[in-house]
Order: sequence, then C-alpha cells, then structure tokens
Amino acid sequence: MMSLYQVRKQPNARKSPRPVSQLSILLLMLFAWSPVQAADGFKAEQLKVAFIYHFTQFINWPEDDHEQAKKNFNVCLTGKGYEVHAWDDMNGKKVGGRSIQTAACTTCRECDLVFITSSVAIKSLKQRGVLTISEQPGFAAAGGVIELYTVEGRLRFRINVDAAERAGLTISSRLLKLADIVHDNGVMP
Amino acid sequence: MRRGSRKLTIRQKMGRFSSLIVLASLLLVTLVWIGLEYVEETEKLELNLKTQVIMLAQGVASPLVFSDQVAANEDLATLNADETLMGAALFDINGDHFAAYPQAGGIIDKLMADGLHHQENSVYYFHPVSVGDERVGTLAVRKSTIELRQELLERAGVGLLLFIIVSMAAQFFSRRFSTSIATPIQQLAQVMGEVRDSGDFTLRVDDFGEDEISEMARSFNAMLIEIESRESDLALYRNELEQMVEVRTGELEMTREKLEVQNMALTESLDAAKEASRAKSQFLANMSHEIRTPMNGIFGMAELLMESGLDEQQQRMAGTIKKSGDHLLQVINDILDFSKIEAGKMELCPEPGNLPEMLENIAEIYSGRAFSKGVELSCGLHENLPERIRIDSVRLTQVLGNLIGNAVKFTEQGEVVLQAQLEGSVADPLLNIEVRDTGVGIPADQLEIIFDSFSQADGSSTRKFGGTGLGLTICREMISLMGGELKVASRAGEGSRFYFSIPVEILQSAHSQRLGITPGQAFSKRVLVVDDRAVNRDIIKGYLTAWGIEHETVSNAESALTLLHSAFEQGQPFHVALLDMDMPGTDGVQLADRIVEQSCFSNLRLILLASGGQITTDQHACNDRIEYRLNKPLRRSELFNGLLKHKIPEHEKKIIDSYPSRRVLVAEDNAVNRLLGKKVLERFDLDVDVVVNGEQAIIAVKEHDYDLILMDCQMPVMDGFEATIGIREYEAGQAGLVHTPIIAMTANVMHEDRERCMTVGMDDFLPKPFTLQGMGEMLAKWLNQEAVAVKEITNSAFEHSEEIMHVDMQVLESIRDIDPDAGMELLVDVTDIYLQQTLPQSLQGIRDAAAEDDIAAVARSAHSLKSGSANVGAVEIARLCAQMELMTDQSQLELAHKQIIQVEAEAAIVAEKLPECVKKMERL
Repeated sequence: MMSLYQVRKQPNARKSPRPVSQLSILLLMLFAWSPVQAADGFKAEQLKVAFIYHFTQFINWPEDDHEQAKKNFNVCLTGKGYEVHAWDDMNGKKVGGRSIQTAACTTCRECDLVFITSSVAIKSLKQRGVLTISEQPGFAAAGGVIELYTVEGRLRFRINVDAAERAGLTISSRLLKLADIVHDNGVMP
Repeated sequence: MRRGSRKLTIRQKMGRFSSLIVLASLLLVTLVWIGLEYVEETEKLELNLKTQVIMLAQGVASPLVFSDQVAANEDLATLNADETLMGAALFDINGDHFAAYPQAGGIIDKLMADGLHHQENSVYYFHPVSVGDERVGTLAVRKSTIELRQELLERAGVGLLLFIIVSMAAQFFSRRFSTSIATPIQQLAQVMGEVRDSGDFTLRVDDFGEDEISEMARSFNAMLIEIESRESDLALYRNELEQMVEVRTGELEMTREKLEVQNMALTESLDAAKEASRAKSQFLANMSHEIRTPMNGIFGMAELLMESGLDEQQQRMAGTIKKSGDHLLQVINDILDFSKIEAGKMELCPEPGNLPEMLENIAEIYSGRAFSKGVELSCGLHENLPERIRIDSVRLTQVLGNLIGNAVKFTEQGEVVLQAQLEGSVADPLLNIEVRDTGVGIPADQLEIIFDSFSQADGSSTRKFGGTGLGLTICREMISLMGGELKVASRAGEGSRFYFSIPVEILQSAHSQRLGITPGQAFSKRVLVVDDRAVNRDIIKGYLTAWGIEHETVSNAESALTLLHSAFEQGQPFHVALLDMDMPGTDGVQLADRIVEQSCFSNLRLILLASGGQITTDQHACNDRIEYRLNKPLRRSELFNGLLKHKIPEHEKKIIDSYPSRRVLVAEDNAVNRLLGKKVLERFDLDVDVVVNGEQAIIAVKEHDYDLILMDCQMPVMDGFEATIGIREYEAGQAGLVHTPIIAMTANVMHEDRERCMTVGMDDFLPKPFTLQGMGEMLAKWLNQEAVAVKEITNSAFEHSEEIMHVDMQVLESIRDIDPDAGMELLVDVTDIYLQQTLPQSLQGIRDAAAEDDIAAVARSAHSLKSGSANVGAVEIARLCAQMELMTDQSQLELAHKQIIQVEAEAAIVAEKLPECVKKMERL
C-alpha cells in the first residue's frame, strides 16, 4: 500500500503511543480509537485539500475582471463539518499568481472556488468563474464541476465538462484524463 | 654489396620516412575521428534521454499529485517505444516509488540526485517532477549505453579498416616515389665510384628527367668532360717536359764531363804546385842544414884553435876567422830567412814565455856593446805588462835584437831605450814595444825604403855600419806575421823610434795585478834615486810607483846629498839610495864614499847601478856598504829583490858536480839513449860502461864493481826487472858485496810501474827524458857526496801547454847543454839518428806487426819508438807510443790500428818540425 505524502509536517501530530500493558493498550485503544479516527479524518481532509489545491493548478479561470490578478484567490467553504486547520494549509499558496485565501461563505459571491459541504442549492451560486467542488454524490451530474468520491479507499473525482465550460473554466487535459468525465445530462461518455 | 645496401638505405629511408608521415597522420585522424564520434554520440544519447525524461516528467506530474498510479504507469509505459530505454521510475516527494516501468520490480530502485548518473552499461537521468513551481516528485529513466557502444565500436572498426587500406596504399606509392628518387642517385654514385676507381674519365651518367638529380648528373658529366680535356692537355705537357728534360740532361752531361776534365787538370796543377812548394821547403831545409853544418865546423874549429895555445899573432888570426865566420853566419841567416819569407814558408811557433825576462835578456845581450860605445842602454817595462804570454820568442828576440842592434849601431852617443807596455782592451790586448835612440836618424824621404830589401838609408852607411840591409825587411815581415805593423818615426840627426803593436795572448797578467798587494805595502821605506839620465830615472820611478814605494829622484850627487840631509833633518830619512855609477862629475862610487863618511847615513842602504864590468875589483872602501851591484840595463826583478833584501838568484848556468873515479853501468838497448846517457855521465866525470840488455848487465856486474847502475826497464833478451832480480840474487850470494844502487830509467811514470821497480829491488827512478839537473840530483843522492847545491835555474820554465807540443825545445836544449862545446853537434847527431834510423825503423816495425795482427810486436815497437822520441823531445809521438805500448791485449787490435794512423801522422809532423827546431836552436 503506497503511503500518502504529507503537505507539511504537522506540529501537533501525535506519535504512536508506547505499549505499557495489554490492558492499557486495550484501554488506550478504546480511547485512542477516536483520536485515531480523528487523525484519520484529519488526514483524509488533508488529502482533499491537497487534491483541491492541485485542481487549481490544472485549471484556468476566465479573466473577466481586469484587476483580477491583484485580488486574492478566494477559496470558500459552505456548510459545516470541515477541518479548518487542514484548509488553512492552502493559504498563501498561489493560483495563477494570486494568493489563496480560504474562508467560509454564505452568499459566496466573491469566491473563485467553492467547496460545498452541505446541500446548498447549486443553482443559487454564481456560475461564471467559480469552480464548484463537492463530495456530495451526484454533484457533478447536478451541474457541479468536480465531484470527489472514494473508491476502494482511493480518492477519485468526476468532472462535469459542460459545467466547467459554462463556468468559463479551462481544464487541462492532464487533469481530465485522470477524471471521470460527466456531462450535464448525467450521461457518462 | 656495400654500395647496394647504401642505395637501399636511401630508398628505405625515404620510403620509411614518407610511410611514417602518412601512417602517423592517418592514425591521428582516425583516432581523433573515433574520439569525436564517441563524444558526440554520447552527448546525443544523453540529450535524448534528458529530453525524453523532461517531457515525460511533465506528463506524470498530474497522475502523481492525484495519486493515480495507473495513469502514471501508463505514462511511463510510453517509453516502451524506445528500446534503449531500460526502465523508468517515478518517485514521490518522499522518495518512495510511485510508478515504474517496467512494472515488475523496477530496475530503478532508489532515488538518486538529480542529473545524469553513469553506470556500466547504462545511464540514469533523474529529473524533478513539478506542478507549477512546486516539486512533487522525481522521475528517473535508465537508458542503455550498450547499443551506443557497439555502434561506436563498429564505426571504429570501419575507421581502422580504412586506415589500414589507406596506409598500404600510401606505402606502395611512397615506395614508388622513393625509388624514382633513389635510382638516379644510385646510378650517379655508381658512375662516380667507377670513375674514381678506374680513373677513366670517359664514363658518363645517363641523363633523364628535369629534376635536381638530373641536374647533378648533367653537371657531373660536364665535369668529366672538363677533366678529360685537361688530362689530355697534361699528357701533352708531360711529353713536352720529358723532351725538355732529356735535352737538358744531355746538356748537363756535357757540362759535367767538361767539369770533370777541368777538375782533373786542376788536381794535377794543385799536385804540381804542392810538389813545387814541398821542393822549396826541402831545398830551404837542406840549404839551411848544408850551410850550417860546415859553418859549425868553421866556428867550432876556430874556437878550439883559439884555445889550443897560440901565439898572439895566431890568436889574432884565429879570432879573425871566428869573427868572419860569425859575420858570414849572420848574413846566411838573413838570406835564409828572407828566402823563407819570399817562399811564404816563414812560420811562427808561438809558445808560452816570460815576457819581462825575454825583454830584459835581449837588452842585456847588447849592454856590453852599448857600454863600449858610451851609449846608455835602458829597458823600461810598464807595470801592466803581462808576466807570461804566448809568443814566438825566437822571432821576437830576433826582431828586437835587430832593432836594438841597429839602434846601438847607429848611435854614437846618448841612449837606446827599449820600452814595452800593454795596450788595447781586455778582450783584445796589444803588446806595444818601441826602440828609440839618439842616433843619426833617418831622413824623411828614406823612411819608406829602409824597409825595402837590400837597401839602407844610404849606401854610405852600409859601408860605415855594415850589415846586409835585409834586417828591417825581415823584421817587418815577422811583425806582420805576428799581426802588427813595424813603423818608424825619425828625423835626420834627431834619432829614430821604431815601434809596433801586436795582439798577444796573455797567460799570466802583470805581477802586481796578480798579487793584489803592492810591494810598497810590505816595504814602507823611502828610496832615493840618483841617475843623470832622465830615461833611467823615469823607468825606475815607474817601477817604484807601481810598487807603491815612496821615492825621490835627483840627477847628480850634489842634489842627492842635499836631499839626504834635509830628509834626515825633517825626520823622514831615506832608507835606500839607488846610485847610478856612470855619472858626470861625481860618479856613483864617489858618492857612495861621501855618504859613508856621514854617520847620519849609517843606516842608509846603498845599491849601485852599474854597467857590467864597470866594477871588478874591491877598490873602494865603501864596498862593504854597497849591498848590491845591479847590472845595467836594470832588471826589474833584481831591483825588486834588492829593495826587499831578497837574495838575487844568479843567472849563471847550472853548476854541475863532478864525481871523478866513480864507475857507472848503463844498460840501454836504444842507440840514441845509450849515447846520450854516456855523454851526460861523462860530463859528470864518471867512468861509464854500456850494455845493451839485461843479460849483459848481469855479466858486467859480476865482472866489475859499480857505484851506480842505470837500468832501462824495457830491453830485449832480458829486461830491466829480470836483470835487477838477477843482480840482487848475485849480490845476496856474494858475502860482503855491497848493495849497488840500481836506478830505473823509464818513460812510464805510473804508480804501478814505480811499485814494480821497487818490488824487484830497484832503488830509485829516473824518468825519461831526463834533464841534466835531474841526473845531477840523482847522482848526488846516490853517490853520497857533499855536492855544491845545484843552483836554481832561472831560465823561463815552459809551462805545460794545452796545445799539442810536437817538439819540446827544452829537451833539445838540455841535449845541447850536455856538452858546452859540441852540444849542437851532439844534438844534430842525436836527431839525425832518430830521424834517419829510429823513427823510420820503428814505424816500419809497427806497420809490419800491425799487418800480421801481432799486438805484442806492435807494443814492443811502440815502446822503442817511444823512448827514442822522448829523448829527442818528440813528446807527442812519444805519448802516442806510450798509449800503444799498453795495448797488449788482442782485443785492442782495432784501437791499435787507429793509434798507428795517428802515430804515422805525428811522425810526418815530427819529421818536419824536429829539423826546424834544431835549426832554430842553431841560430840562437
């Protein structure tokens, strides 16, 4: 099993506990199950974040705004249930020369990238120049651009090319070839 | 073969050289090409690889970041297209494998640094995989280099093959090239060699081509043509020359023949001239002898007659005969001398002699004549006059005698002075002698002709003064021969001065110079000289000054006395006074009387200078005060001795003892020696018996008693040694017989011979030739008588001369002196016997013995010739014979032959010289 790479070493990363006794282990396991689970969750979140960051490296946003280059690249998060720390890792990295700024959003009008965690209506969001990503199943068929899903423990993604076209996003073939391509009518070519 | 190898070497050299160049170049090019190929292809490969990896890295970036292994592997699998790519691997950011190709295991197993990595057969390229600026992993691809290598090897092979082919081609062509060069050279060299060895200049080199070698060939040919033509020219010249040489040779031949003829003619004339000359000499010698012998007779007889008790008238007549004979002899001598001069036969015999004595002796001869005419004769010797010189004293005496005689003859009153001094330089000393007089003088117009033969100043003087007129001519010739010139200075009525300077060889320089000290230093006394004649005063002054003796001179008795008194009063008295006898007014004796009267002069020594015969009797009272009477002309040595109170040796002849009634035996085989010995002993008034050999000697001894035996050592039949032994034996056998002194007479003076004489019993030793004095001393010694001491002979003793003395005059003189009356006769007899018998007979004996190689006989003949020669003063031949006598060993035969040659030569000389010297003595 290939080990995943880490974006950055976590300062707060815990090391594996030392075994003291079987009982203590059991107990620890009982108590550790959740932090482990929590750690596992953090990791998965990190992976998502990494994917999402990399997505931005293979996508070109439309230049509607002449002063777009000076502005930050806003990565917005809607809904709840996400690890803030993991998303903070993206801050400062560049997308097309623009610094990423992650934040939560409600209307999400100024966002370049929106990660949807709750069932927010897609159509309510602005379409033009916005990359919509979600883990919700059927997100791509519903008009979202990228849909993340896990198959056999591996993180995969679907890209709705029509949606991307509508949003004015140019997606590199190199990304496309790795993705499952989806069209608006949900037909997968 | 050597030539061949040399040609090959040239060709090989060239071939090898060009091959070497070509091969080297090709090799270099090939290697460089291969090298470049390698580098280029390798670079290409790597570039290729890099490019592939870079391109692929872009592609695999997204699968990597999106963890799509499948996609990544697929991407990597695209490398399949290139067979040379062995494998690829994609590493994630942690260095772990993400994807690989080929998938099974992966050939790239570990992450290395970015860039190229070379392994044995492959090369790796590690390149970063990035998304944007961010590195997300590493892509590594491995490419095989085997194929490249193989390809390169193939290419190299091709290259080398090409190289070999081209090299071979190059070799081939270079060989052809070098041959094309070498062949003409070879040919040229070959022809050159042939020309050199054979000398054949007609050979030529083939001419081909236009290059430098052909040029050489052509030049060579041209040279040969040139040489050929010169050769033929030379041949022509040679022929010409040969012809010329022949002609010249012919001419030379003729000339040579002519010269030969001339030569023979000349030789003949030379022989004739020599013969004539010899005849002349012979004639002169004969004449001389023929005339003198009867002259001796006349003379001798006249003298005997005068002593044979004649009356007055007869005495006068005999005296006249003698005087006439004297005169005649004089004339004859002059004529003979003159003839000799005319014939060019006059020869000088320079020998060592005491010069001062010679001069003073000559002066003395004429002192009587001068005194009887009232003419003062003085002899002045300069202090620088050498003691001994080499001179023909006989001739010099003759010349000076003539000059002095003339001077005295032509002077009636006044003086005649003989003066001599040394002139010239140390290297060229000259003896300057002059005779001056106060006589009649010679008029100016006659000064020259007086030297001419047969003339005198005027005919009247001839009658007045007598003489042949030849004298001065002869004198001039003599002086000329001596290397000088006789000159005269004179005025009529004012006397004459004859003078000359001759070069002279000094054997002993002046007395004072030799001594270093002057007598004056030994004699610090004052001398007063009293003489009326200025010339005498000057002469004595000269002597005294040279000796450093303080002196004063006065001319008369009065002045003398005055000076003596004043000197005495001043406290500087005179110690010696030289008084001339013959002074006007008060003569020397009278002055001496007056001096003696004065007591203050009691210590004054008186020496009288008187002419011979002036004082004969003890007439005067002062006689015992007069220490010495010195005869005039004053002898320097006598003055010297007188002043220093030395005893003056007498110039008398030797006083010989007499041993009457004593008997002597002489044993001598040689006739001449026997005669001489007998005569000599008879001179001593001894009875003499003679025997001819040892045997007879013994018989004689047995028959008679002898006081003395003179025994010759070498005699035939029995020699002296054996005889002595025999005599001693006889004496021993006779009781009471006294030991008779036996004196050995021999010319051998070696130590061994003396010892031998002593061993056999002889008592003493009388070397031959013996002198009268020697004999006298011997007799005195052994006849045990008190004899009057034999006076010292003050005749000049001849020193041993370095040059060969052929005839010793002293010996001849001593023979003559044996008999004061008939000495010359004896001498002539003795020399005649020697010259006519002893010499030729002995010579013949030697020759015969030599012809038979009988060395013993040679020695014997030599012995007899030796003693005979020694007796007549032929000392050189005697010496040679003495040497030959010692050659008794057969091995010395050759030496003996050489010696005989010398003896013969010497005999010839002696045959001439001996009569001459005898003649000389006859005239003196």
